[in-house]
Amino acid sequence: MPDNQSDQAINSPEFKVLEKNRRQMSFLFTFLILTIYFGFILLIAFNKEVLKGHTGIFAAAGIIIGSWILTGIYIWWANSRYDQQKQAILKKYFQ
Amino acid sequence: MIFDSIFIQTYSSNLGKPNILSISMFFLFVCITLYITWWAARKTKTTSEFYAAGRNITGFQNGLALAGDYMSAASFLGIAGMVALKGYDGLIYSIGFLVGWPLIMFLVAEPLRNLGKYTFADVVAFRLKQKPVRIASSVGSLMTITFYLIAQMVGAGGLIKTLFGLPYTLAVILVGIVMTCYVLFGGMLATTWVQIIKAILLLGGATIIVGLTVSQFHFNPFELFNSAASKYGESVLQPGSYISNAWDALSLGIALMLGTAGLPHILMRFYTVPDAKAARKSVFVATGLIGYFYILTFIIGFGAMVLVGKEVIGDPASGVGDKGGNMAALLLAEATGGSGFMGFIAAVAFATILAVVAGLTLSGASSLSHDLYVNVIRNGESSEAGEVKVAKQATLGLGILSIILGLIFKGQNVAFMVGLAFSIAASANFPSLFLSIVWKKFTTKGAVASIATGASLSVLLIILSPTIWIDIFGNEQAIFPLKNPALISLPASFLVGIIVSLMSEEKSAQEKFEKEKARTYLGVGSE
Repeated sequence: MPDNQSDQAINSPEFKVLEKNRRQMSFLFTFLILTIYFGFILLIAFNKEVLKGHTGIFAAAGIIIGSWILTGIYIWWANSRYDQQKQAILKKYFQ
Repeated sequence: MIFDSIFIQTYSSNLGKPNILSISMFFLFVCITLYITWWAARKTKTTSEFYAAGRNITGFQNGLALAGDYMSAASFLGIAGMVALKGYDGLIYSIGFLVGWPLIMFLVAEPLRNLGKYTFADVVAFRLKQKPVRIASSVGSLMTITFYLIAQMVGAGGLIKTLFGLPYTLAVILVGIVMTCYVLFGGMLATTWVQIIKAILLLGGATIIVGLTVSQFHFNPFELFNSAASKYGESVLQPGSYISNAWDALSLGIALMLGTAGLPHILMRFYTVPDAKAARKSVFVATGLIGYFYILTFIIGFGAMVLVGKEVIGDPASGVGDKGGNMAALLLAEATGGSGFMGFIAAVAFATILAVVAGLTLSGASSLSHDLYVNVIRNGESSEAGEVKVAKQATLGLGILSIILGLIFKGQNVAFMVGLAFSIAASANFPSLFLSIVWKKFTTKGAVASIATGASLSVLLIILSPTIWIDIFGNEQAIFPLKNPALISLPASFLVGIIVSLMSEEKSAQEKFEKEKARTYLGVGSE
C-alpha cells in the first residue's frame, strides 16, 4: 500500500471527523455501560431496599437485555454512519 | 435448624449411577466432534488455518463459538446452584459476566481485528519493540490460561466422577486426550465447530429444562418466583449477603467486566472472521446468547429451589448435595424430565468442559508458538510449516501439562482460580491492550511495566486475601481484605503503564501510532 495514500487519507478532514466520531461513540457507550453496571452494584451495596418485591428481578433482566440492546445500537451506528464515512474515505483516497 | 440435619433423608436420585443413556450420548458427542476434527484436519495446514480457521468463519458462527467458549460448565452448574441456594444473589453474580461483552464491542473488537493477526499480543506489540512486549504479553496470557485451565480440569474430573462414577484420574486423562486431539489435528476450525455444537446443545438443553419447569407454573416465571418466596421467604428474591461489602463487590465487578475483555482465548476468536464488520456481528450474537443463558440459569436455579429443594441441593447429607449446590441443574432436569433427560444434560455438561479447555489450549499454544517462538526466538522469521509444527508441539505439550495439573490439584478447592484468571486478564492483559490501541505515548517500557504490575499484584494480593491466607493457610486474619484483587491491581497497572510511558519517550512508537491509523480505523492493510 503506497504510503502517501495512507498519509493523505489520515490527514484529511474527513478522516479527522471519522476518528473523532468513533472516539466519542466508544467512550460514550463505555461510560453508559460502566454507569449502568456499577450503578446497579452500588445501589445494592448501599440501598438495597429499593429493590423490593419483584423490582430486583426486573432491574436485573433490564440490565441484561439493555446491555444487549446497547451493543446493538452501537453496531447499528457502526454499520451505517461509520461505515458510510469509511467507504467514502476509502473510495476517495485509495483508488 | 438442628432437626433439619437429623431428619434429612437421602434424596432418591439416579445421579451418580452409571447411566447408559448418558454415557452413550456423551460418546456420540465425542465421535461426532472427532469426525469434525478429522474433516478439519485436512483443511488445517497453514498458520492462518491453524490459528484462525482461514478467517472463513461468519459473524453468526463466531458469535455462537464465542458464547460456547465463554459459557463453561462451571458457570452453568455453579450459577444455577448459587441461584438455587441463595436466590437473587446468583443473578447479581451472573450479570458481572455479561457486561464485559458490550465493553469488548465498544473498545476492543474492531481495532483488535484490524491491527492483529492471530493473538492479542500482536496488537499490543504492533508499534512497540517486539521481544519485550511479546514476552510480557505471553506471560500474562499464559498465566490467565493456566489458572483457568486448572480450574476447568479439576472441575471436569470432579464432575465426571459425580455424574458417571468414573474415577477422577481416568476422567482427567480422558478430557485431556480428547481435547488435545481437537486442537492438535483440527486447529481453530475444529475447535470452532466444537464450540458451536456445544453452544447449541447447552442453550437447547437449558431451554428445555426451563420449558419443562415453567410448564408446571402455567408458563409464568413469576409464579415460580412467588412459589420460591412462599417456600423460603421473600428474601430469596432480594439481594442477600452477596454484596455485603461495597469494595468486594466493586473489585469482583471490575475483574469480571474488564477481565472478559482480556481473556486470550476469547480475543483470539476475533481473528477467525474476515473483517471488522463480521467481528461486530460476532459480539452482538454472543452477547445476546450469553444474556439469554444467564436468564435461563436464573430460572433453572429457582426451579431447582422449588421443585428439588434447598435442603437437598445444598446439603451433602442428602446424597446429592454440596456446598455450592452444583447439582441443582441436573437434579431439576431429573425432576422435570426424568433420568434420561438428566443423563442428556450431564453429557452436555461434559461436552461443555471439553469445548472450553480446547479453546484455552489453542490459545495457549498460539501464545507459545506465534508470540514466543516465532516473534521472540526466531525474530519474526519462520516458515509457515515450521510455525504450524511448533504450534502443534505446543498443543501436545499443553495437553499433557493440563492433565498433570488436573491430577496435581485433585480435591483442591480451585474455584478461586477462575477469579484469579479474570483478575490477571483484567489487570495484566486489558490495560496494555487498551492503552496500546488508544494512547499515542504508550511505550515498550510502559507496556512491560503495566503487565508485570498487573500480573504480580493479582497473584500477590490473592495469596494475601481471605481465600488463600485464611481458608488455605489457616491464618486468623487476611492481610488483604478483599476476595478479588482487581480493585487494586487494575488501577495500579494503568497507573504504572502511564507513568513509565511518560518517563520513557519512544518516538518511533508515536510515529507508528499515526501511521497505523489507516489500519486501525479503516482496516487498510489488515490481515
